[in-house]
Amino acid sequence: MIMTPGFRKFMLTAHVVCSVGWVGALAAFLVLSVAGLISDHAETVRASYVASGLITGFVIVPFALGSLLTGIIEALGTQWGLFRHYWVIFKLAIAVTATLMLLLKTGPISDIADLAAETALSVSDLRGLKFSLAGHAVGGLLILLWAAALAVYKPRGATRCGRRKRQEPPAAPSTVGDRTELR
Amino acid sequence: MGPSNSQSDDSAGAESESGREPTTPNWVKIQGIILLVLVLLVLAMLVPALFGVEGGGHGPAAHTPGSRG
Repeated sequence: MIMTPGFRKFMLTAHVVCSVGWVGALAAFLVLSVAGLISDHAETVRASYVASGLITGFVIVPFALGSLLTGIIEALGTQWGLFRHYWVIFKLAIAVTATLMLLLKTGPISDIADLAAETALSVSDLRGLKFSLAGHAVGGLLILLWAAALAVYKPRGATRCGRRKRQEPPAAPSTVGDRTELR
Repeated sequence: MGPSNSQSDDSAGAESESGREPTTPNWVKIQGIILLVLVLLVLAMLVPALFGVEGGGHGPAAHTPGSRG
């Protein structure tokens, strides 16, 4: 399944926007988490976690799911394939892992945001959870940067599936439209 | 997470030109171990969440005794 050049560009744009947006929103989340953790002002702490909840629900999760979906479509629709190159498999595994981790954390994030909105969340409250959220944000950023580096460097290495595909005779001439991408 | 641009592939990896069975590149082995550890960590978090087992350390309720009952 090879996409037309126009659709491929569209999907690539969507994928880059979602992925970069995911990293940026997670960086903002990290700043808010650290502010909530170290600030001496109760209002700042409360505001940080309310904002964290909103960013998670309305920015990070949609961008994460969008990045995963557009990445899979992009891979399946081009000659890179989803399982032909190790770096693509690694990026897929990283994105799935990061998304699962994120979805696991949306519950606690939502809970602490609700708590901050409803009660006077003090500086010392929920210290363990605050550390946990900041730590997960750091971990999430690191693995997203790992994925970004893989996308840029594209380290060599074709899988068994990829080698087999390359040995197959070329497809019909009608699909040649996007074939120049690997040259 | 997908392929995000279209530059030169040259994806032969550790394949040799002599027709021998290609070996897995070193970066795959090293980063694979890191990724495996990461996946196991996520699974360790996922399993208790899926089966409703209290992890004991997550969620505000675990940190605020009696405050959300």
